Amino acid sequence: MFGNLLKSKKPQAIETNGLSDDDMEPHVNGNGVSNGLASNASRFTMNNGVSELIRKPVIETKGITKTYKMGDEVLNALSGVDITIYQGDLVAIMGPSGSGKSTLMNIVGCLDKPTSGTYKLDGVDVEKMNDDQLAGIRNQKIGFVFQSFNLLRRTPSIENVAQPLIYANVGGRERSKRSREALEMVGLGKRLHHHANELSGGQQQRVAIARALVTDPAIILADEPTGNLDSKTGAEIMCLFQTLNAQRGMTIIFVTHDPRIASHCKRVIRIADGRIIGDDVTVDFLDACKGDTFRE
Amino acid sequence: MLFELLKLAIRTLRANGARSVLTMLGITIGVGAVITLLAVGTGVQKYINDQFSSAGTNLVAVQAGRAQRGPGGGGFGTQAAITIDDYRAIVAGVTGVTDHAADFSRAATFVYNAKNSEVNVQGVTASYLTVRNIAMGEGRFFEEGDEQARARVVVLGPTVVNDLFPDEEPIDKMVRLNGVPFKVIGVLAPRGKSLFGDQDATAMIPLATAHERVFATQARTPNGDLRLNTIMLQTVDEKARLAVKQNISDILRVRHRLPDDEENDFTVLTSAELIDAFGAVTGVLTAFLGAIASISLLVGGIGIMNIMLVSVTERTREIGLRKAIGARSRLVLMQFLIEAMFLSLLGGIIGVIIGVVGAKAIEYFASFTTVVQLPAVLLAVGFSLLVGLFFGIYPARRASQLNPIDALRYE
Repeated sequence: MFGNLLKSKKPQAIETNGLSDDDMEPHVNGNGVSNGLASNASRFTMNNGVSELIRKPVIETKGITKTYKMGDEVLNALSGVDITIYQGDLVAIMGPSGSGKSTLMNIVGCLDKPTSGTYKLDGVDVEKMNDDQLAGIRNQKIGFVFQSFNLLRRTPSIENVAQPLIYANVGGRERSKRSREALEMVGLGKRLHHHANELSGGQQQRVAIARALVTDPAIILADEPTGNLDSKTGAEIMCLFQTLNAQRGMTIIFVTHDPRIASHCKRVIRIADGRIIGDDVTVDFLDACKGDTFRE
Repeated sequence: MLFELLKLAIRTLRANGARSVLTMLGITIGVGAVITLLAVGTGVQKYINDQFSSAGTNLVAVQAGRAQRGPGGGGFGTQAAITIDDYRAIVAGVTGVTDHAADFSRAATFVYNAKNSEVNVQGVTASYLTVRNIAMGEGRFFEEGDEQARARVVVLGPTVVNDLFPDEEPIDKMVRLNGVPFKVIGVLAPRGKSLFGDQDATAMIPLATAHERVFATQARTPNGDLRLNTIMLQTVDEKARLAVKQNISDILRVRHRLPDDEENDFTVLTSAELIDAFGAVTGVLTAFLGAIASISLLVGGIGIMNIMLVSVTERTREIGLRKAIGARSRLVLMQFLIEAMFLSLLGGIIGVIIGVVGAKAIEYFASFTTVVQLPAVLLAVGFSLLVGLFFGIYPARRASQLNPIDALRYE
């Protein structure tokens, strides 16, 4: 499936043009493919056959800094981060602990505000929003997937998935309809009423992914989504992410230190000491749906 | 949204069933205690009201001495006395009165069949039974003629009969009061115990007989007037009460030659005033019981706060998640507040049921009337809701102010 997608990829020059607007100069990997191109498998392009010219940036950060004051010491967690992530990207943000990776994820996830710099998410300037506005943005535009699933125990899957819709003021009937659809999408159509604690780890993470999908967000932000899973289940979950990306054009951002996740992504952004040190695009990323590719 | 939060609260509380029940227990016991104790207090109030109204509500009583509140009072030192001449003057001068009676009571030695006992002997007018609303058991009460004749006839209370005539018919038996021979002509119907002791431990004789035959040495004032304990008047209606009271006061002040700046050396009480006075006392009693019970409600509230704080800590990650998926701080606050309030409201409602059952149980086992009043129930339920609100705010605020990033990372 991914192979087909990759074959249909179109020239790269366009992407380079698109990127030239940004301060970020993309790194080019060994394949000589310029950045971003592989990720343009957006629903738009696929379904309508329209050129990738219209690749739409979902995340645009410019000069993001974040400083923490710890007593007299000032800690620069991020010092000028520019990233552009396009609709349909399947990207891993990688870095060792202390690299600023988590801080970046929190800012990209609208859980935290940058000290300076601008951040446009799906066309909305979010850097100056107050906490309530950010809560609304998270609800509408971001689907979170966590390492530890964070499901409500003793609560049926369908209710777990419906939680974000409650905060979006979606009515009960519409809520269960959309929650059921989301669960069917992740292959749990037959586990609607199982309590979260009755499901396996992989199933729980699927419920969490359904919960992230249910609001039809602009991006899915997954923080070490396979960290608590064995390699076989991890591969299954990566397969699900890749399928969502390929078939539905979901923009998916992984935040991870796990090279196995990165190896399944079309694009890898590396961060160290609060700066972007690498931004690579690859066409020959692994297809998790083809067997057990998740072994170390 | 409120409905969703309520559903969420119910789900959470059910998921932690045992803990929720134990937390509720504090409020349940508090409300149950409030309801039961208020029912007891109200029962006492009703009992006292019944006591007074059985004596007739339009009663005005005159007694010697000043009515003084607090210790050190009392009219004993004031040389005050009301006399049979006062009685006659009042009866002659007061209008709006349908009936009247007087009594002179002292303890006397009562002898029958070589059995000796001390009995409260009441010298009363023939009208006494009607005015005090007392019924006869058997035999007859004495009449005007008996009084004029200073007849040596006695009517006994049931307690005296039980003590002295355990296996005998008392009527027509001869007894001695302070050595004077009397014939028993009747027995009063039982009245039971009142606040002032056993109402049935009495022996009634004609007033004139008491004055002149039994208590001749104690009956006269230094001036030689015949003393009375109480003068009772039945007014035509409730409204006449105050006029009658004023009227009596005017007559007695003249008769007792009291200067304008001197207080009354007698007391005029109306039954309504007595009911009010005792109502005030029992009201304080009821409030006191209620206050004690409220303390347990307070303790229950602290229990709720305690558990909610534990719950907030335990559910830190859930709170973090809710914030991440778009819950505003205010909604998180509301969620926890609704949980606390629902818990305490439910505890309160169960407490009401237990309280009512408790009051009925007291009524059944202690044969003591309890009265559960709707306002008390509403008050208790409302108060438990307030307890939930008050003690829920702090934990809920803590939950709502959690930083989602830290909360999600909390282990």
